[in-house]
Order: sequence, then structure tokens, then C-alpha cells
Amino acid sequence: MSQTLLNIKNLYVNYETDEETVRALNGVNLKLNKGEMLGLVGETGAGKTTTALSILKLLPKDIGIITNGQIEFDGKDLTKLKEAELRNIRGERISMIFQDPMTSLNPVLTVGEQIAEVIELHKTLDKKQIESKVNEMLELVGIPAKRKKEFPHQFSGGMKQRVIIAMALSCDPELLIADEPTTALDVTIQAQVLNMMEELKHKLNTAMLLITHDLGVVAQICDKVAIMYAGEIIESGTAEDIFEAKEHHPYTVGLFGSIPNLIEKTNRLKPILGLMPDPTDLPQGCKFHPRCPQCMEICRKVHPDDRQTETHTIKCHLYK
Amino acid sequence: MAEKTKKKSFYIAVWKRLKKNKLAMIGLSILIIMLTIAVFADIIADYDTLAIKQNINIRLEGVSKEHWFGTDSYGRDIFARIVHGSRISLIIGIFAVSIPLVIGGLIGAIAGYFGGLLDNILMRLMDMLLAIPAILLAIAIVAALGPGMINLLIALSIAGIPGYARIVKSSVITIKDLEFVEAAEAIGAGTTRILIRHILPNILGPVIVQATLGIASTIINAAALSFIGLGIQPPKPEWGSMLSEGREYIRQAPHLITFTGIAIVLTVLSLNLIGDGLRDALDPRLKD
Amino acid sequence: MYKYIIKRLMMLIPVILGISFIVFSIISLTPGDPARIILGNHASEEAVENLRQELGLNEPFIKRYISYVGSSIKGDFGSSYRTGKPVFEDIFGKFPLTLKLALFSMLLATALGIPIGIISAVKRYSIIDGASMIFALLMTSMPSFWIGLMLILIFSIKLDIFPVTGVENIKGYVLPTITLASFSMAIITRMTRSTMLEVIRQDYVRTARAKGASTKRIIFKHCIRNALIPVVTVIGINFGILLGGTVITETVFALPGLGTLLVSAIRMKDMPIVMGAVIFLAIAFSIINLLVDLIYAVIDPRVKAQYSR
Repeated sequence: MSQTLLNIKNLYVNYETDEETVRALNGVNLKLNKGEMLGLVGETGAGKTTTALSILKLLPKDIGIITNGQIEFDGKDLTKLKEAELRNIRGERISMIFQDPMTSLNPVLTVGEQIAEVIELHKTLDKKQIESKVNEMLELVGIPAKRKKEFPHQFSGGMKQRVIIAMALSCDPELLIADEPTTALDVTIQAQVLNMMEELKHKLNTAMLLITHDLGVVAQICDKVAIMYAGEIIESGTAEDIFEAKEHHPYTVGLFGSIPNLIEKTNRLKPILGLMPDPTDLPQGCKFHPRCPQCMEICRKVHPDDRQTETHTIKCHLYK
Repeated sequence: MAEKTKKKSFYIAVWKRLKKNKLAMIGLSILIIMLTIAVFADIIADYDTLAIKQNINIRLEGVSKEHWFGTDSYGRDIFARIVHGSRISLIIGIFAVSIPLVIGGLIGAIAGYFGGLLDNILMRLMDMLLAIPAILLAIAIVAALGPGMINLLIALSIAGIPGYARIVKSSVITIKDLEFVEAAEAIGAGTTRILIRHILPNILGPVIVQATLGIASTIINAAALSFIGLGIQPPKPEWGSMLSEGREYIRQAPHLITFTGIAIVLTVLSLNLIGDGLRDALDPRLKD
Repeated sequence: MYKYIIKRLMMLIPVILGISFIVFSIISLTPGDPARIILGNHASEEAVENLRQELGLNEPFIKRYISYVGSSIKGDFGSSYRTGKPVFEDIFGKFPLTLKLALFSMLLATALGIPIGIISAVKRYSIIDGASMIFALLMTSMPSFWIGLMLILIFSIKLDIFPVTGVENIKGYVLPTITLASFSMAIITRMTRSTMLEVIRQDYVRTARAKGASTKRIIFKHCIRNALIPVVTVIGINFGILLGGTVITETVFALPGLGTLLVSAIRMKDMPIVMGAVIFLAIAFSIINLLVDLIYAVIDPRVKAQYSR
């Protein structure tokens, strides 16, 4: 029934500078089916954005390097494609929404020109058809088409993010990567943008990789969830698996403990003690062990494997 | 105490980064050589007998063992004149930058720190001065005062004031609003104390860079003014006026202009290399 | 936009008044009696006094300034102490050559500086980048008059391709233009490279890549215009350097422009000409700066929006 669209296997990415090597991704495995919405959750610095950027090979030039692994998209390994082949995929089959709408649009081009560009690059349409497509996309995200002649500085943050979404959806991509699309926005605008994205997903049947550190957002709109820590997926499964199953990775438990809950009265928040490990100097064994309340002898030495039960995968020595 | 060690380690870090910059180190070496030559000019070549005394018998001679860079149209040793010229150029460069730096810096600091009407009046005046290209302003002042070293120094200094006032003002404005200055104000530190203890150290970096590059361009401007006959007058061995003399004999004796020119270029280049290197070392972000 | 242009033109008036006041004050400081300069050392004390009266030199400073501004508005900048000819005529006759020289140099400096800067940034750390940066560094370190002398030595004397002096034909402009342009070209190259490097790192460039745009397209469509915005300011400032530099370049090549007029006037203490020439060049610089600001508005829609308000 469901067909695999994106399959990331054992992905390793380093950021290499003269001074140091940052191990950003350490064997990421991630699967996404057509039309599904996957929430990728984790603290800042866990490697979420790196994962997203590696899919499109947009890692910083000469610094971000994929050292191992495959990224299969619709059966093809993206890591092996040439730049020209990748360009045909970027914007057309996979598109991306970035974290900061304020800086993600070119200040000297009108929003219309910027939306038209992606259509121009991938579709063989004449000027008139492109214009009407631009109008259509703007209306789709709730912006009057006549505003296409305006420049980004004339738009508010939320409106800019809508423009970016319109741009990302113009070529009906099979996969949309949204990297914290609402973080830079006001709370009220956040809800608007999220609702719009969910609606669009249903309308267009696009698969979506939603990167966030907000579990509330995930619970609201995602089918599947993957939780990242120090460049690894430490737990993944359906939304039910993550929000309702009994067995969890201690880090996931900690993440939930850090969210204030208004309905169930908890006495106090339980933050996860300690900090993320230094990515230039990762601990041996399980990378979470220095902060883990249930740390065992084995955790310090042996890197845990995935334990899979139906849809739910946990990378922890607690579960065998 | 803690603040002091922190500041110290900041400058050590800057120096370490600067040391890694090969071009800046080349620049520093050239400058040290030039400064040494300027300081010991009298030992290297006697001023009166070699740089000033005319000797028609040996005029326009080429490169030889006795006269490394040849002789000029009055039979003076060009090497000796270049050596003594380095003194003049470096002195003018240093003074015609430090004088406007202090005056302009004060104007900029006052305007930036106090703002309001005072700022408006001072900066409008600076804008007026900036509306006249610096070299033209210097020419106008020299025209009024007449040629000569002191007048040249005055002219270049006045022409330099508005530029430094602007740089200092904009740095002061940026830093004034930062938390640590507000914190200092909050605990009741006085204006002078804030300006000297908190703001000055923080704008020192960009100002030093600007001053280094400023000395370079001032040396060029001073030579240019002397070249067109409005700066230091012959027979003083000033590089610009030497080139002006050399221009007359460009066909017969091109060595008159080549060696003197190379001396200017090396001096200016060394300062530019150090200035660029300092800028990168102070703000490592700029490099990548 | 028109409103803005008119507003800016109006703002030129105080600037020009300020410039003329500064220059007038400086020149009035000149030691020596203009009347004595005009009449020469042998004239009688009485004749000198009469001339002083006639020229209004006995009036207070402010009154003299006001009458200078008053007659300047009517196009009368006074007459040369030496020739008695109107200053305006002299300046206007010499200005075309100076303006041409400055414009040619600006054209050369931008036409080479911008592309070289862009290529250096795009091919960062390549041989081209390294070579052009060293070249630019050398250019900023060489006095323009020395470059001029070396060009004469090589291209006029040794190779005999270009004339040592004279601008009877276009060939005569080649060496002076290169001489005058060298410094600005280096500055523009370096500035273009560094802003381009800055722009390449921006988020919107990543957005463009995510759209599937090619590197070439990204550079031409997304980067260059953004990178040029700060470069335009630098070009404006450099016009001032160029106009000032014409004085030196014209001296090197002995060209009969405003610069050589100024220098010879200074030597002969012909102050009306000195004043007129300096004010004239400074006003030309202000007008060019205004034009640069308008170009700014064309490239940067954010600035344009501010103006149309």
C-alpha cells in the first residue's frame, strides 16, 4: 500500500574546518512513505537541519561532507547524483522551506519573480502560463495575487513564510522538507502557517519532513515521528507509538518531561540534566549515557542497536 | 583583575592570528626595516655631504659601487636621499594621522556619546568637510598657507579629521547601546570613566586598522602634494619632490624615478599589509 | 521619486554654501595682500590702497563672503589677479578635459574592477583570485603619479606607443586614464570581492539553490545586484578621489585641465582661480554623489521604497 519515497541509510556527515571536525550525523536511518508526514524532533544541534540539507546536498560547500551512507529518493541514491541531475530534483521533486523567512528571500527581486523562477526552471510554460501559476500559488497560501509585484521587505514575517511555502509548492513536489518553518514567527502566526501546511498536504498529497523541536506541533499534524539525539535517530515510529506506547528511549521520556502540561497536574518540570555532548568529541557507547538516568554498565561501552517492534524502533540497551 | 587578564588574552589571540598571516608578517618586516633605516639615517648616509651637497661632476650617473642607486641631476647620491626621505615620509605619515585621529576621535566621541544638537552641529560640519575631496582640501589649505613641511602637516591633518570623526562616532554609537555600557551607567560610572574604561578599548581595534591604512594613504598624499610642488620643497630629500625632479630627466636617467618610487611602494605596501592583516586578526569572522 | 530628487537637489544648496564658506575662509587666510600681488612690487602704496578699496578687501570677512556668494550665483566668480579674465571662463574652458578624464577613469575602474571582483569571489582561493588580489594590493600601494611616470617610461619612451603628453586624439587619454583609474580600480575590485563573498553566504542564495537554480544563474540573478549595492557607495566616494586625483595626473602628463590650472594658480597666488577651481570640483563631487544615491535607489528596492514615501 504505502510506497517508500525517501530512505536514508546509515548517513554520516562531518563539518570539517581547519581547526576541528564536527561529527554532525552519525548513522542516521530514516524512512518516509509517499504522502506521509514525518516529524523530526530533537534539541538544537541534534543534526536535524544537517539531515535536511544533506538530502538536497545543500551542505555548506567544502565544509559539510557526507562521509558515508545513502539517501535513496524514489529508488535513486541522491548522494551519487551529479550536480546537474540534482538541480532537476531540487525545487521540482523535493523542495525545502527554511527556518528564517526574514532572510530566505532575495531582497532585490519581487516575490512574484522569485516564485516564477522555480516554475521557469522546471516547467516548460510560456510567460502567461507562468504568471497565472504564480497568481494561483499566491492565492493558495492566502496572499492576494496583486501583491506579487511587491518586494520582500513589504511583507511581514508570516507573509514571507507563506511566499516561501508558495515557492516550495509551485512544482507539486513529491517531498517537502520544512525546517522549523514556524520558529521565527509569532505564536498566532505559527498556528496559521501550520494549519495551512496541513491543509495543503491533504490537498496536494505531498510527503512532508517536518523538522521541529516542538512536540506539540508534531502531535497535532504528523503521522510519524523520529527523535534525534547527537546525530542519530534514537527512537522512531508512528505518532501513536511515540505518544502512547509504554516503552520509550530515556531521552524521549526526558523530552516529554520537559514540556509543561496544563491538563495533568505535574508538580514541576523535569528537565533533562546536562548538555548535549560536544560533537567534536562524542562519548563512547550510547551517546546519551552521560545524561541518562537509567545508565547501565554496557551503555558506557557498547553502542546500542535498533530494536524494532512492528512500526516502533528504539535504540537503547534497555530493550532487547 | 579578571578583566585585565581577559583583555590581555584577547590581544594575545589577535597577535597569534596575525602571526599566522604570512603577508602581514612580510609587511611587518618591511616596516621594521624602513623604520630602522629612518632612525639610523645619519649613520647609513651622511646628510650634508651625500644627500644635500651638489656635485655637478657626477650628475645623472647610473648605478655604481659608490652610488648604489646612482646620482641625480645635481650629483647627489639617490640612495642617501631615499634613506633620509624615509624619515620625512614616516614622520609626516605618523603625525598627519595621529593629530587628526586625536582631534577627529574627540569630535566623534563627543558627537556619538552625547548626541542631540551638539552631535548635529559637529557632524554637519564634518559632512561639509567631507564634501570636499580630501586631497583637494589639503591643496586648498597648502595654497593658503604656502609650501613647507609644517604647512603640509597642517593641511593633511585638517583634511583627515572628518574621516576619523565619522569612524569613531559610528563605533561609539554601536557600543554605547550595548548592555555592558548600560550596566556601567546603571552602577553610576561617570561619563569620562565610561568613555575611557569601557568604550575606548572596544573601538580601539577598528581605529588602529584605520590608522594603519591611513598612514599608508597619507604618505602617498604627502608625496603627491610635494610632487606637484605644493609640499616639501627641494633641496630637502622628500620622495615626492625627488620624483618631480626625476620627471625632467625621465629620458636620460630613468633610475631617478624607479628607485624612489620603489621606496614609496614598499613603505606603503608594508602598512597596507599590516592593516589588512590586523583587520582579519581582529575580526576572524570576516575571513570566511 | 521626483519629489525625492527635488528634495535632494534642495539639500545640495546648504552643502554648496558650506563648501564655499570653508574654501573662502581657507583662502582668505592667505598671507599677502592680493592688491599687492595684482599690481606687483613696484606699485605705489596709494595705488595698492585704491585697489583694495575697489576690490572690497577692506570690508569685513563676512561681508566679503556674502558678496562673493551673491555674485557667484550670477555666474561671476571674480576675475583672475593675473590675467584679469573672468574666473568662470577659465574654469569652464578647462573643465571638459578634467571631467572626461575622471569619467573615463571611473568607467575603466568599474568595467574592470567589478568583473574581476566577482570572478575572484566566485573562484575563491584560485590562481585568478590570488593574482588579482595581489595586483589590487599593489595598485593601492603605488602613488598614481609614479604609476604615470612608469607608464610614460615604458609605453611612451621605450615602446613609443602612446604620447608623453597631449590629448589631441583619444590615444592621448590612454595613459592618463590608466594612471588615474588604478587606485579606484583596486578599491572597487577588493570591495566587490568582499561583498560578493558576503552575499554568497546569505540564506536567500541557499533558497535559490534549493529551487534548482544553477550556479551561473544564482550568481547573475541573485548575487550580483545585492553585491553591487555597497559597491555603488564606494564608486561614489571614489569619484571624489578621482576628481582630486586629476590635479596630480594632469601634472604628470602636463595636460591643460582644471588641475594644472589650479596648481599654476596656487604658484602665482591667483586666489580667485584657486577658490573657483576648488569650489567647482567640490560641487561636481556633490552632484555626482547625488547621482550615485539615485542609482542606489534603482538597484535597491528597499531604498526606493523609502524615497517614494
